[in-house]
Amino acid sequence: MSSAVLLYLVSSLIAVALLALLLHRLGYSQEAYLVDEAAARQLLQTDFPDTKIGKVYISSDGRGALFDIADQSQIAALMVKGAFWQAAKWGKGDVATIATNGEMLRLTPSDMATSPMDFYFSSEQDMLDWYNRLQEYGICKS
Amino acid sequence: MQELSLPDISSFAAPVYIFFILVEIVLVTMKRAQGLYETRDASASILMGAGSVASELLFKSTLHAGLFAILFAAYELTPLRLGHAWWVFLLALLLDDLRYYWSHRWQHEIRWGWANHIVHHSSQHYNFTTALRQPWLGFLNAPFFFLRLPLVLIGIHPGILAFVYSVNLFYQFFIHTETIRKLPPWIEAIFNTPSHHRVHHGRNAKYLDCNYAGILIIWDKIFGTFVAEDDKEPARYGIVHSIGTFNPIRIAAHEYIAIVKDILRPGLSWRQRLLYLIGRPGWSHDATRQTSAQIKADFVQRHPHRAGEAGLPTGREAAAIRLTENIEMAE
Repeated sequence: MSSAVLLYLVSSLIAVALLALLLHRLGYSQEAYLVDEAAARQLLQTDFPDTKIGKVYISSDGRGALFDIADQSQIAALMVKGAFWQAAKWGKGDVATIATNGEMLRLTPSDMATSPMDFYFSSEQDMLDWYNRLQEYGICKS
Repeated sequence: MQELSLPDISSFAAPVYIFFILVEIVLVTMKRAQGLYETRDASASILMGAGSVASELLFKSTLHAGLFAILFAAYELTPLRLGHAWWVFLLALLLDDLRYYWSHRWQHEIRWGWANHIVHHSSQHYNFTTALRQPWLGFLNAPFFFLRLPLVLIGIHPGILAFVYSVNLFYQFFIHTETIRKLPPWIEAIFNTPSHHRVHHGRNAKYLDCNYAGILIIWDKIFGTFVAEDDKEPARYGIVHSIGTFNPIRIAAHEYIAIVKDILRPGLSWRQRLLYLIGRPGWSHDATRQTSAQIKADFVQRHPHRAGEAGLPTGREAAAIRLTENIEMAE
């Protein structure tokens, strides 16, 4: 790597860090938050308008939601992405791994466009219900 | 060959970009202008921009030099010489803008091109930092580079083409903003403006696949891809199914990885594998995904009163799209 490229990269990283710090100090790091089930349903249907949504679970930290799409043996998910939301529909094999930790479910989608995501449940039973549903629909590869 | 020395706009562009980003942040923070910033999104966008320039620098003496060598070889072959007069620069700017329109359009319509360009559309925000969200793997789009060949063959020096393209990109930085609503009508009629480009970044059904212009919006009007911004329907920015990451490596590579996974699926015909590579984005062999045309057709089916609006098919066209989809499924 030439010194010009290295210098360029280092100065760019400094500029990005300073700008990120400025934005953070100005309050632009606040994340969206799910207030209720109706809002979650509406957000999902913006991306997937014809989806017949069954049971909905809102993560207890308000940063995501899971939706049962029983008629298609799919699970949909809504995940916070800064000020906005990412909606996804998962079918067979769309999730690479599922890990559990107490009342938390960590899903790592097979899709490289999505980082691993954590869903928090108010009880271990709720968590297990969704875990079993994901397994039942064959959504997890492993 | 006559010597040609032209300023490299990119060498002074970075400070200009940072200045205008800061101005936009101040205006948005003081509620003096419309817009939205998010720390991680803006940081990811600028990192993508820096990485894109770094990748260009890395390949400057290899791939880029090779590509330009081909243009220079073509320039040597052609008997035509337009020279370096001021009008040649204007002509080159005009013709290269037309070249940009088609290159940009095909990067939206061919999945291999989209895998690269999706990076630029992957933010759900629309501000000056979005302009900098550029691919790191631009060299994979080398085939599009050769759309410049006809311009060289009519006698435009490759150096002039490189210069006018940098002008084009510099211009486009300033249209990535919500702070400017509409410019005077004559400007909106001729030039690509923030309003027109907001539409291009929209993922609303009616805003998909339109307004591909670089500097002049007239190309979209000529080739039937122009859609005006509808004040009643603000653009929801980003891609149809938003990506869930601010990780620059994932942003840069995710669609290429998806293509490879699709091509390697077991049980597909060679035609299907090829369509996963160069078919329209959203095409799938089992119709589990949707192309832009199918999304628009579905939208019209759900909202028949909007059929035929700019950016949406008529009821008959929508039915034809759905019929084609069914035939493909049956095959």
